[in-house]
Order: sequence, then C-alpha cells, then structure tokens
Amino acid sequence: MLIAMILGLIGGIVLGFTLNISYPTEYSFYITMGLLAAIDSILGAARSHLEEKYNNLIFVTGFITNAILAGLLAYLGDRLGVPLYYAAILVFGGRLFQNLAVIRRLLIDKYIIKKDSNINKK
Amino acid sequence: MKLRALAFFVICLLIGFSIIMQARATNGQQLYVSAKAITDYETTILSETEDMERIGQLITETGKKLQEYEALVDSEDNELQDKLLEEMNYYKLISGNTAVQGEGVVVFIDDGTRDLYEGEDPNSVLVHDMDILTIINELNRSGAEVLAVNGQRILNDTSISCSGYTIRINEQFFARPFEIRAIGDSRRMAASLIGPEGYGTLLQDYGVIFKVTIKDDLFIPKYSESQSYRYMTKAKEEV
Repeated sequence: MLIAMILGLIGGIVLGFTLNISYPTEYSFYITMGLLAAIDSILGAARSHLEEKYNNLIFVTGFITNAILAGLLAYLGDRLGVPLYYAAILVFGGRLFQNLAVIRRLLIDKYIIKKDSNINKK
Repeated sequence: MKLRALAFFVICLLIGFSIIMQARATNGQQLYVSAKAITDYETTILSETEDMERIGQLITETGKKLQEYEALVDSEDNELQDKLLEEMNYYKLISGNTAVQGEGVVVFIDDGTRDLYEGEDPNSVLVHDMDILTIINELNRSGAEVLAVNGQRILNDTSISCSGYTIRINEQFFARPFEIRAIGDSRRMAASLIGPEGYGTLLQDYGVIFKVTIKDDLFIPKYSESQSYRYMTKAKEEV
C-alpha cells in the first residue's frame, strides 16, 4: 500500500515536470481545492486501511464528491464575492490533522505498544 | 486489494501532479486576486478587445481603399486620381494643413508708449485679447480668407484668451508686439480697420500703436498644433 502511494507520488511529480501544462491562473483555486480534497481522501483512506474498514467505493466516491463540493464552493464564492472556499479549506485542513492524529495513534498502537506488551509478556 | 492499491496510486499521482503544476504556475508567488480586480481586468480586456476589433476593421477598410487607389494608379485614366489630389489639396488649403501665400494685409499692434494722464488706467494703452479678437472679427467680416497671429494660424477651433501679460492662442503663449496677417481683399480689409469708424482708428485714439501694411505677397505658415476630434463624427444622413 505504501509502495503504491510512493510510486504514485513520484509518478505524479515526474508527470508534472515533464508534461509542462499551463492553465489560466483563475483556475488555480480549483486546482488547490482538488488537491486538498485528494490529500484529505488519501489520509482518510490510509486511516480506514489501518482500521481495516476500507471500502473502495467509499474512497473513490468520497474523493469525487468532496472535490466537486469544494470546486462548487470556490465557484459560488467567486460569483458572490464571498470567500466560501474558506469552508472547504478549514474542513479539509481540520480533517487532515484529525486523520493524521488517528493514524499516528493506530501506528503507535500497532508497533510500539504491541512491542511493549510483548516485552511485558516476556 | 489490487483495486485499493490502484486507487491509492491514482490519487497520489493526482496529488503529486497538481502540486507540481500549481507550483510551476504560481512560481511560489502569492496569487490572491480579489473578485473586484478580476472584473476590473475583465472590463479592461473587453474594451481592449473592442478597440482591437475596431482597429482591425479600420485596417480592412483602409486596405480596401488602398486597393481601390492602387487600381486607379494602374489604370491609364488619371482623371479620378487628379480629381482626388485636387480635392485633397483644396481641403489641406482650407483646413490649415499647408502654408499659404497671397495678397493681404499685415496688422502691427503694440502697447502704447505715450505718457498716461494722471490717474489713468494703464490698461487703456495695452493690447488685450479682446482687441485681437475684434480685429480678427473685423478682418473676417471684410473678406479675409486666412488669418494668423504671430505666425499662429487662426482656425475654426482657435481660442484666444488673456493670460496675464501674454495672450494665449491655440494653447501657445504670445507676448507683444502682435502681428496679424490676413490674406484676402487687402484694400477692403485695410479700409475696414483704418476707416473713420474702424477699430484701428479707435485703438490709435487710445494711444495703442496700430499699423496696417498692404502686402502683395504674404506668407502664412501652416497650423502647428495637433487637431483631434473625439466627439464629432460624420452624420449618417442629411437632416
């Protein structure tokens, strides 16, 4: 799983450098929104993977709907002159840290406390 | 499990790709653009594109005209070309775009040098913008075709105003003495100014120096300022 993630990240970076795609700066908000949604999804997926509750459908649909909602909020905010994309940034950012905390706890449980209990058993 | 790895791979690919793309597009600079700035830019761009379209139309129109003229050049029949040239010269002549010459008068006018009476206003021996205007009007009334004050052509849009010790004509400042040149019926113009009821006589009575000379060949330079008409366009149909 970790190998797939690292490979994907490297592949994406290489693609980004080689393809050299340019787009109007107006869309940079939407790109950022999509990026946030993607990071949020991947962390959520990693968490559920560690919790062994992972479901492919939930992961993919979650990513897509989150990205769409974030884009819609950014668009609506642009139209209304109110920075609505803050909502998406705050939610995604908050969830990032939350998920990271859960992942950290799970990893600690899995590797360190287990070892500790092993030591205790011995 | 395979699907999961694939999904993770794709999402990570997306993340890496968009990070790099975004980083390259913004070059690390802050890219906050307010909605107002965007609409401002939009209106600017819109007006610029409209301008460009208009200029493009102008180019095509002028190109068409040029083609017509080129066709005329090639044709043996020079009648139309001659007519156009003649017309152009005529309009140049009357619009002040060319120097002109002909018979006319030179009016020399300067501040008076006589001693003032006690308590007299010195303004009565000075040359004013109103004097120049009245003389120009008088000259026009008696058939002047072209006028110039100190070498500055008087045209339909000329303004003459007082600016302290100097007089402002066509955005240029002129000080005394003033030399008004007029091409036209010289005898008639001179008579209208220095006749018994003429304005020149009046000025002379005040003590202002005023001389009229009749010249057989008078030179008047062309209009030196730039002319631009922004509000006026040709009427589409005669009313």
